[in-house]
Amino acid sequence: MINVLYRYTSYLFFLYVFIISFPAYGQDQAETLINDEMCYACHQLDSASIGPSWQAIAARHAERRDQVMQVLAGKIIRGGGGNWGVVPMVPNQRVSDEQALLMMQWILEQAPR
Amino acid sequence: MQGFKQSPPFTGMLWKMLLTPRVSPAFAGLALLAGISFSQITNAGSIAGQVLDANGNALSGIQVIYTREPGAKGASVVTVFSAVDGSYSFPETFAERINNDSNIIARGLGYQQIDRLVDTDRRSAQLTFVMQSVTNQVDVAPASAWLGRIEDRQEKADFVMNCIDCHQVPASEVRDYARAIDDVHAAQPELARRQSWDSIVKYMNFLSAWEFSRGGRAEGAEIDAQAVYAVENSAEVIDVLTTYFNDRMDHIEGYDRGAPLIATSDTAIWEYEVPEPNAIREAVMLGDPAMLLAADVNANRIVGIDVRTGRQQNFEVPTDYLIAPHSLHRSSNGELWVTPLFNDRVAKLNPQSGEWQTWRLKTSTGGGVGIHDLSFSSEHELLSDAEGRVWFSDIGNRAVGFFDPVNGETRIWNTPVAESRANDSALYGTASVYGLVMTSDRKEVWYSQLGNGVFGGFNIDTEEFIGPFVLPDPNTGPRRITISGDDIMYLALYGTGQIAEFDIKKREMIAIHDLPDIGAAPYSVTWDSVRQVVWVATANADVIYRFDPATRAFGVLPLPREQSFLRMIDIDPASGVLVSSYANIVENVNGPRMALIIEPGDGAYPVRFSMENASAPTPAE
Ligand code: HEC
Repeated sequence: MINVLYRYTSYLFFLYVFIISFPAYGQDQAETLINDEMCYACHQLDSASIGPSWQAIAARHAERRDQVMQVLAGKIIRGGGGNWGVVPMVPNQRVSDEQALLMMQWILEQAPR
Repeated sequence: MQGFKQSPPFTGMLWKMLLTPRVSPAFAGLALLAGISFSQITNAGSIAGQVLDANGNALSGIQVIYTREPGAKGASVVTVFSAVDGSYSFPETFAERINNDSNIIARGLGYQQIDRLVDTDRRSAQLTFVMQSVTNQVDVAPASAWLGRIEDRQEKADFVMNCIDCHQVPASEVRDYARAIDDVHAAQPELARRQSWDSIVKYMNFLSAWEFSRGGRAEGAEIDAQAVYAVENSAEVIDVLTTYFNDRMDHIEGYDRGAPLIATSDTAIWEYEVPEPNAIREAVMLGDPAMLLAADVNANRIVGIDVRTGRQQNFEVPTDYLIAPHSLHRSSNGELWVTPLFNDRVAKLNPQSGEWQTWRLKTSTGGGVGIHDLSFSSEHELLSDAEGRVWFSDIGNRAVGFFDPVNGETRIWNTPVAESRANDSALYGTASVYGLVMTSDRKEVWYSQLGNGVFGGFNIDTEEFIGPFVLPDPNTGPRRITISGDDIMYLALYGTGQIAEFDIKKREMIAIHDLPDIGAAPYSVTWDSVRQVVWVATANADVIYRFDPATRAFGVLPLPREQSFLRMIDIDPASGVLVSSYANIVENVNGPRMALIIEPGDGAYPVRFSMENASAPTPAE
């Protein structure tokens, strides 16, 4: 039983549990950013995690894509909640306005076809 | 990478004079010779003034903090303290002009700046600060202050050990999240709070799994989120968060650092920011001209910062794999020993020549090691044994061991299991060997075990362990340790907010001392052989404590910013300044990433350190 995960010194022993091999991300800038900013800690492509899936976000905002783009990009940076449940998103303050827009454009293209 | 070149004596002198803003007659002459006009050089600002309360009474112990423009020559931020009569002055003049727009503020726990009067002429600036006392200390109170809410010490220790490894909880960004939870106005606030903190714990487990696999993760490898979320002991942490961080966390009163201020009007702090991206860990000062050397665990480099000019250069570790520089050890001959984020590599840098030497350790039986520290002496320098072998703590194998820098021979010995902590497999799993010191006769090394509250010694000649010694609480969290010239060992007890004082010769605990703020998590302790005191670096209290074993009294030195997650403190043998760093781990976390120099201003060394006399030990050529 892995009991005391937080104590980082234990990671040496448990690394194997957490690391899955993943093909390198595509060269797409937005995807790289989303990977680097560790959005995957809380979001997945097609299933709800701590936050909603990219697909669900894209589907939900599909109709008003252009209107919400800026607002949602701002929300990536500042965080906040109330749209999907009671858990607020953390702020991602290192993300710049341009980066947030890039990511947002990509996310909103992920609606399941 | 190019290191600083040693200059011949005369040009060296010339440099020193050119760097000296004060105008000596000799300098004026030189300046004329060099055809530099006088006014260009004297266009420098000195800053002095007074700190007053709203009634015009002098306020002492208030920080005056000058945050300079990016690229300014020297430190990014310089801080001094007001004296008993409210006066303060900066130890050096600045090349830039000081005016109304200069970012200079006054800061004190329980105070708020309400006015600033600026009076400048060509060469100097007089700034008077007016402060008002406030009951809400939210702007200055450190993260540790909020841990006062957790009264049960065991519960607190457990929480500290779980959540404060990498950054401060609850720093302002954590408190902002508490407010965001409240802002959602959920129908069932209690449930919403629990769910939200639960998400944060999962998120943090993801980030730390990512962080601590830095030194061992394959290119392109990813963290398995679901596996990380499934970790067992989250429940108790979520309980603490939900119980104690259950409001908007925007009001705190009555926090006291618990010890007399030791800052004087001669105290000064120089902070150097390292531009992003960086993952700064520890820092020491070496070389002439003095250079701060900071480990960047992410980029396989040591960042060199020229103390006087602020100019930064990289010393790339010449390995084709990431050694992930983590801990730094100064050697008495001015070299820098670098240990990794827990893999099997050791590197040594000569900062003067920029030359590196690296080792990859493998035990005689072909086993791998996970290095944390090399053994420190009472001078806080690397001390090798009589045969020149370098001893290390092996976090991966719960072992101590040595390697021979000449032929690479490596051996380790697994530490004995402390019986009373052996039944709990989780505790044993985290019984990683962490800090390491060597006795003055170079015959024993002593180690701490962070995860299970145990420490012990090892006799190098007989190859036998001494102990183990068990600290009262399994969450005591002994981190970095230090040793005095008389072989008294001090242990920073991270979880319980204490320091332990242990007599190695007698194999006997002298005492365990509560820190003045028991919410403070001491990351390290450093014996100061000249001042005969122990410096205690806190990770979450934004202060350094000073402990005097003779009187058993603590004093406190506040740092000029929040989230100053300190790591090691080194003491520059030439000037007696303290050298340290702020290292908030994982890029997603806010807070400073800086190296800093502190002149305690206690007159313990003959010369008060300043930018004008900054130099440090130089390796022999
Ligand atoms: C700590 C977990 C966490 C992290 C890290 C995180 N998110 Fe979120 N995210 C959430 C949660 C929770 C929500 C739902 C918020 C709500 O209910 O309004 C959310 C919502 C969103 C939304 C939808 C907003 C809306 O109102 O529809 C977008 C877009 C988004 N996240 C993008 C990102 C990006 C891009 C990153 C990385 C830079 C990121 N998130 C990182 C937890 C996270």
